[in-house]
Formats: sequence, C-alpha cells, structure tokens
Amino acid sequence: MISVTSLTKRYGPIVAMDEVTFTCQQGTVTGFLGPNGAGKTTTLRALTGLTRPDAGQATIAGHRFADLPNPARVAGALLDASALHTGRTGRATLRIAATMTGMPSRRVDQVLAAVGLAGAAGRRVGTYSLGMRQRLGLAQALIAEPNVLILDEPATGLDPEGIAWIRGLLRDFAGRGGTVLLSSHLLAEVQATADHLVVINAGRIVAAGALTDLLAAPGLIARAGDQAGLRRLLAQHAVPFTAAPGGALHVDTSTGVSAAQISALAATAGLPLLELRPADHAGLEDLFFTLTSHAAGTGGDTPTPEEPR
Amino acid sequence: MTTTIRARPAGAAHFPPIPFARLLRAEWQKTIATRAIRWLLAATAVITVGALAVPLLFPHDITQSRASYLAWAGLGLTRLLPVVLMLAMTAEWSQRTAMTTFTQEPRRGRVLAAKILAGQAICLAGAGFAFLAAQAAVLAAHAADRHITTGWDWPQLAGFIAFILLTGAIGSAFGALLHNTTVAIVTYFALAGAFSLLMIPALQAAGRWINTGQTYGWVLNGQWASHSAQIATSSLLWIALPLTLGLIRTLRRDVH
Repeated sequence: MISVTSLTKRYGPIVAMDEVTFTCQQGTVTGFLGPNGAGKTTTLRALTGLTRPDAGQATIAGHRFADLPNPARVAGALLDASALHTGRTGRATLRIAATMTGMPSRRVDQVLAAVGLAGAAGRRVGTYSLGMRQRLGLAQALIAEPNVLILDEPATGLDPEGIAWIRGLLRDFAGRGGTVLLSSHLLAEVQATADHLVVINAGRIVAAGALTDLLAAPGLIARAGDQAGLRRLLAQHAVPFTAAPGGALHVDTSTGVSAAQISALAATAGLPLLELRPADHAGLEDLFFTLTSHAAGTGGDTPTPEEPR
Repeated sequence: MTTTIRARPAGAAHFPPIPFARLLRAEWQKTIATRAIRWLLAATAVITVGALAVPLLFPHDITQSRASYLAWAGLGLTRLLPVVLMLAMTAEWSQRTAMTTFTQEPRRGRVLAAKILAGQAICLAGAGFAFLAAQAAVLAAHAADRHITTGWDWPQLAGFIAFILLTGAIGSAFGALLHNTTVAIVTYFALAGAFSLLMIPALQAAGRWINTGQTYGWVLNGQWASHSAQIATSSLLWIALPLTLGLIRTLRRDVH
C-alpha cells in the first residue's frame, strides 16, 4: 500500500535521507522509529509530496502522492498538530477540509464525534490543548474516508486515556483493511500498537520487519538437574551456548537447533531437563538503543534482519 | 464511531480530481472563517462609511457628485482590503496550514489561482458594499437639501470597480511572494511611504509609471483610458511580477 524506494535528500552537508526503502502492507500498523533528526519527518513529508527528494520515489496505492487526483481520499495525513490555523474554530477547520475533499457537511459532525471533540467544535483552535489539536488533526486526516493514514507523532500531547483511544482507533482502522504508518517517540506505545517496525538512524534504515521477529531473542533457556552433564552433552553435539542468569544455559539457536532436538538429545543421554523454553523477548527499548546508539555514519555495523546494503 | 473510521477496501486510488469551483469555495471559506480577517472586514466597513462622511461634512471643499462619493467610498474600502488579502495569502505559511492544504491538493498552482480568485471575489463583494454605502450617502445628502450631480459616469463606475480589484490584487501578489504575514504588510506600507517620494518634482516622471498611488488614482477617477500604458506598467511591476515569482516560490518550496 505504501512503498518507499531509495529516497535520498541532502540539506547541504547533512544527509536527511540516505536510500530510505521500506513498504507498509495493507491491514497493518507500521511504527516508524528513530532518534530526533534521524529522518522520520523528512521521509513522511517526502512521502506526502511536501518535500522534494533528491532521488528515489514513494508511492501510495501505486501512485506518487502528487499524482493522486484527490489524495486525501486515499491517504489521510497528520504531519504536525501545531500546523492548524489558530484563528478558526474546530468545526470551520473541518468544514474547509470537507469542502476540499468533496465530502458532505454531515461528515464534519461524524468525525468530530469520532475524535471526541463535538463539545469543543465551536471554540477557536488557538484555545485547544496539544492533545485536542492532535484529535482535530486526526479528524482532518479521517474526514475523506481514506484507507491509508500517515501520522507523525500522533500520540504526543495525549493523556493516557487519549493514548489508549488512539491505539484502539488505529488497530480498528488496520483491522478493517487500512494501512497505517506512524512515527512515534513513545516506544511502549509503538510496541502496543504496531505490528511492523521500520527503524531509521542518521537517515538510513537500520531495521525493518515484523515486530515479533525483531523483538524475538533467538535462543532457548535450558536447565537440567545435572548442569555439568548438560554442558558436556551440548558441547559434544556442537550446540553453541552461554551461561544464562540463574545458572541456566542460553542455547544459541541460530545454527538451526530446535527445542525438540535438545529435548531428544537429553532424553537419549538420560539427562532429565527441568526447564526448556524460548529465551525472553528483548524489549523494544533495548532494540531501539542497540540499533540507534551508534554515532551517525557508523550505524551500519549492527546485525539486523533486513539491513539495506 | 465504527462507521466513521471505516477503512475502504484496497486499490481505490482513483477519485475524481478536485474541481476548481470547489477549491475556490474552500478558499472563500478559509478567508471568511478566520477571526483576524473578520475583524479586518468589520474595520474596513467602518472606514468605508467614515470616508463617506468627508464629502458629506465638507460640501464646500469636495465636489458634490455621485462620482465623487463613489471615489471616497473606494478609497475608504481599500485602506485595509489589501491587508485582508495578504493575510489570506500568507496564512498557509504563517499558520503552517500549507501542510494540510497541499496534502489535499498537491497541485499548488491551482490552490494559488483559487486564492487569487477568492480574493478578487472578496474585492467584488467589498465594491458592492462600498457602492451601496455611497448611494446611501448621496441619499442622505439629498435629504439635507444639498445639490448633487447624480448623472451616471460610466467610466468612473468601471474605474471604481477596477480600482478595488487592482488594489486587492497587489495585496494578493505581495502575500503570494513574501509568504510571511508581517513581512508582507510592512513591505506594503513601506512601499506606499516610499511612493510619496515619487511626488517630488524630480521624480514625478518616474512616479507616473511605477507609483500605483498615482496610476490607480486615474483608474478610480475614470481617467484610465488616457493613461492605460502607465496603469499597465505599474500593474506589471506590482501585481504580475510578484505573482509570477510567488508562483515559482510556492511550487518549489519545501513545506514544513
């Protein structure tokens, strides 16, 4: 649904995007992560035709955004909640959006109710809190019934109830076949909402893939009554392992060895296993820092599933 | 709620393009649904009526003709009207709504054209108001038993409308080029101040070609036929040139 291919953009000596490539599939929520200045916003603006890339291209539903005849009906965008006219009321803001996109005026009240702003619709945007502006911006993105949403930091300024609400809204939207691309700094929020991840650092994509794949720590935790016997057994069969906290062994499964094979080996050797389970998943925060902690320009040496060359 | 956030099935990327009439309507809504502009329009109405008090109160100094009343109404109307249009043109950048507008219609030239035409529509509505206000002032003068020349002066009526449209267009052009509300307004009034220098004898010859204070005065007074070259030259300089440069800038600029 969203396809970004080799987007590159320089601002003088600074490389904002360096061959940025990823896709977002229909029916999924893709989280777009990276430190400040990593190129998230530049990528989203290039995707929506607001910034001209030096090279590469981005398409939505197979078309460049600027070639879509009425793009807001295909892809709704909320790129900056503070980019709303402060001198207009919430309702006037949405009425203009409805006119632009050719939606009936009753749609204005529908989206106002959907984002919980019906009571504040007559107030000027200048009196809105940041959370209310995020809701209004989201209403604006939703007004023309798009099936793609492109959101830059949509949860910023929302209270916990608002964050839970937007998570439900986005999951529901994707569940109905929509495509969501959202950037966020709130890692816990992304972990709870997204099913795909794209991580960018210093203008380069450093990881992309399903959240579960990226967070899965490859390996098994194994523990036997005779721990020394288990060590000898694994060594005999050339299964790599390390010591895990609490006296157990962490078995490296990257060689292809499975839990069933370990279990069979132990049974054949008459070595009862007390524990055999997948190693704990790494948190998104650990992954994020692993991928992005390198200084700009040296970020390419971390092994990642789909690192572009 | 479930019906309002429904995502459509995939593949539907072909919706009819946005008709120009709809862009025009959206730009009209943007202009009038803004608090600052509403205040400016209210002030414009007050200044227009106030300007008409001049010929009413000083009958011995001001020619008592329908044409003269119309000219005073036109002058009053155009004190702030260009500011309204500069505000309408620059708000997309100063208030950063370009980010929304250009993701709804990426063909930025069409948006700019709709803004200019919506601005001209505001000018026409203003001309209608100023015309009615002038007629009311003439009736008031009649009621005071004053003798008023009421014959229609068609070149002046056409000039009155053209004067308002041209003066508004300068505001749109400055806004289109400068993108920043404050810079546009300050430049506009600074230029009007600089034009007054063109009234000194040594510079008068140049002023006749570039000072819109002078050339559009001929338009307002119905003398456009005999000064068309000067009027066209000053319009090229202060309307066509900034609009063209503004179009190029708007098409190329990164929106952030």
